[in-house]
Amino acid sequence: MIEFDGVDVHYAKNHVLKAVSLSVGAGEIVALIGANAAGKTTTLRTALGLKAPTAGALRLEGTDITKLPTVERVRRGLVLVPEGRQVFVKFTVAENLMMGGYLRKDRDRMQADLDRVYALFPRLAERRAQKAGSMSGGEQQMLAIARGLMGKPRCLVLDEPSLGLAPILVEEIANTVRRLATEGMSILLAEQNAAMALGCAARAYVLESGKIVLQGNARELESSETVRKLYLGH
Amino acid sequence: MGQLIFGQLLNGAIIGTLYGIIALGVTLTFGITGIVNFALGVFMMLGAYAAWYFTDTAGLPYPIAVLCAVGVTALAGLVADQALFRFTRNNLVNGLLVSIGMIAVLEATALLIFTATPKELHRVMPGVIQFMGFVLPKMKLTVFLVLLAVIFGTYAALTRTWIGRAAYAYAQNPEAAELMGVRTARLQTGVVVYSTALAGLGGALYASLYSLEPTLGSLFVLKAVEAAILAGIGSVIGSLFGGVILGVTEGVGSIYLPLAFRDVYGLVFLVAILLFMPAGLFAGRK
Ligand SMILES: Nc1ncnc2c1ncn2[C@@H]1O[C@H](COP(=O)(O)OP(=O)(O)OP(=O)(O)O)[C@@H](O)[C@H]1O
Ligand SMILES: [Mg+2]
Repeated sequence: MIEFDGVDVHYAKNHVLKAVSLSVGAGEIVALIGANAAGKTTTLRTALGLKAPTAGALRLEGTDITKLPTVERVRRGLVLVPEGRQVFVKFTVAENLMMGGYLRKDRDRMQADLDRVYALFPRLAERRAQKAGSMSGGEQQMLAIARGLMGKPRCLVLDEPSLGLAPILVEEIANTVRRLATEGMSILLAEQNAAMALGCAARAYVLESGKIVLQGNARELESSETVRKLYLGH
Repeated sequence: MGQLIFGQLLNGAIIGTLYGIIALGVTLTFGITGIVNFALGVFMMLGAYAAWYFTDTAGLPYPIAVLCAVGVTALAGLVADQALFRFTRNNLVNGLLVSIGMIAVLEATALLIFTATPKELHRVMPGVIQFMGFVLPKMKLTVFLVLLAVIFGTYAALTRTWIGRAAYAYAQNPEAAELMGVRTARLQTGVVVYSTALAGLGGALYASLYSLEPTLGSLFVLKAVEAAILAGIGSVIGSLFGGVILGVTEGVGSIYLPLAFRDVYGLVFLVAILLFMPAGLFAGRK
């Protein structure tokens, strides 16, 4: 679905991603785990074209998208739920969801999809007329995911959706992610919360200072010595 | 006395809607590109002279001349954006430098072409209507109504169309808007051009009421920035009311206070309002 091939990224002279190669297959959940400043957000921003790589290539369903602007990537079904939610605080829940469908040809007939995401997140349905800025962190995270879903993604990219949430909400989001994948969506999930990410994913990559240092089956990584020590804390 | 006060109220309100239409451009441009475009004053001047040219020299009917003037101003706005403003996005200081430079160049050019001799449009729409014993010049009323319609129309477009929604989303969170698929560069250019077109419309209508000088826009844009701040930056309807409040304060103020200081009254009022409401009168609204 999406594929990184030897991607390098620099912030000025700061070499932030070093020859990152990773891929997410159709309908697969792939976790990208790493500590603070490992380069997770940078990887995802590069996927969406918010940051340009200095070397390497990006492919989406086999086509090279390295030079495509963000809009075109979104149009091809690549959607990012950004770090820190980034909801439109002065818009209501419903208006936020509508913006999620901005690029769709049928954007004036989205009621069925609105109903679908409301069914997925009943809490949003109750609050559809509430301003997003006045909602709790957990509700905003759900809204950010729901807004992403309104774009009808084929590949959904999530940046630390569990950040700052209570364990029960983290579990709820994990369940939602699994459910989306069973419906055929490809998911790239960046997390510091390795337990949550590995619990969802089939495969995972471990990012350390901009390099992929470990990769493989999520079950195997869960039980590997390094991951348990450094990321699972037991 | 009643007639005098009413006359000043009306004058103030009309001048106020002119402040308001420029203020709307100031607010929109600031919200989307992060710069205060003081050059909107020269775009107003451009619109005024264009309307004068298309009516008096080219002999077009005034309403057509106004449309042409708006078109010319928008085109000039597009050129200015692509050649200059494009490089000042979200950079207040560079934006200021570019707009001040543009004022100097365009005012000097206008002076060269049109000279300092004031230009008068032949009377576009003579006649008055009587209303409850008061006399209203038809043209003034028309200008007032057209400007109101454009400002409310802009508000409706911003709240009800996808472009408006995209603009408002962008003003709240540029990167999130980009992630929704908003073409942000195009949106910024569109807003800059629309704002210059609004200023051009203001100028073209101004031309039907007052005589024209190359510097006519500079005072207006200062008042417009005042009005936008008074209303609270970002408020569309607020820029109308900010403009009208300013215009009326000046109009009525100059009955009771020395006329020479009329440009100060609005400023005093602005400071007073901001003391009590630091975010402006209409803060928190669209
Ligand atoms: N806009 C930027 N300008 C300069 N350096 C940046 C920028 N964004 C990120 N970096 C640097 O790139 C490195 C990777 O940052 P990144 O945000 O990708 O990490 P992360 O894995 O997402 O961390 P976190 O878990 O804290 O979100 C860091 O050293 C950071 O300082
Ligand atoms: Mg991050």
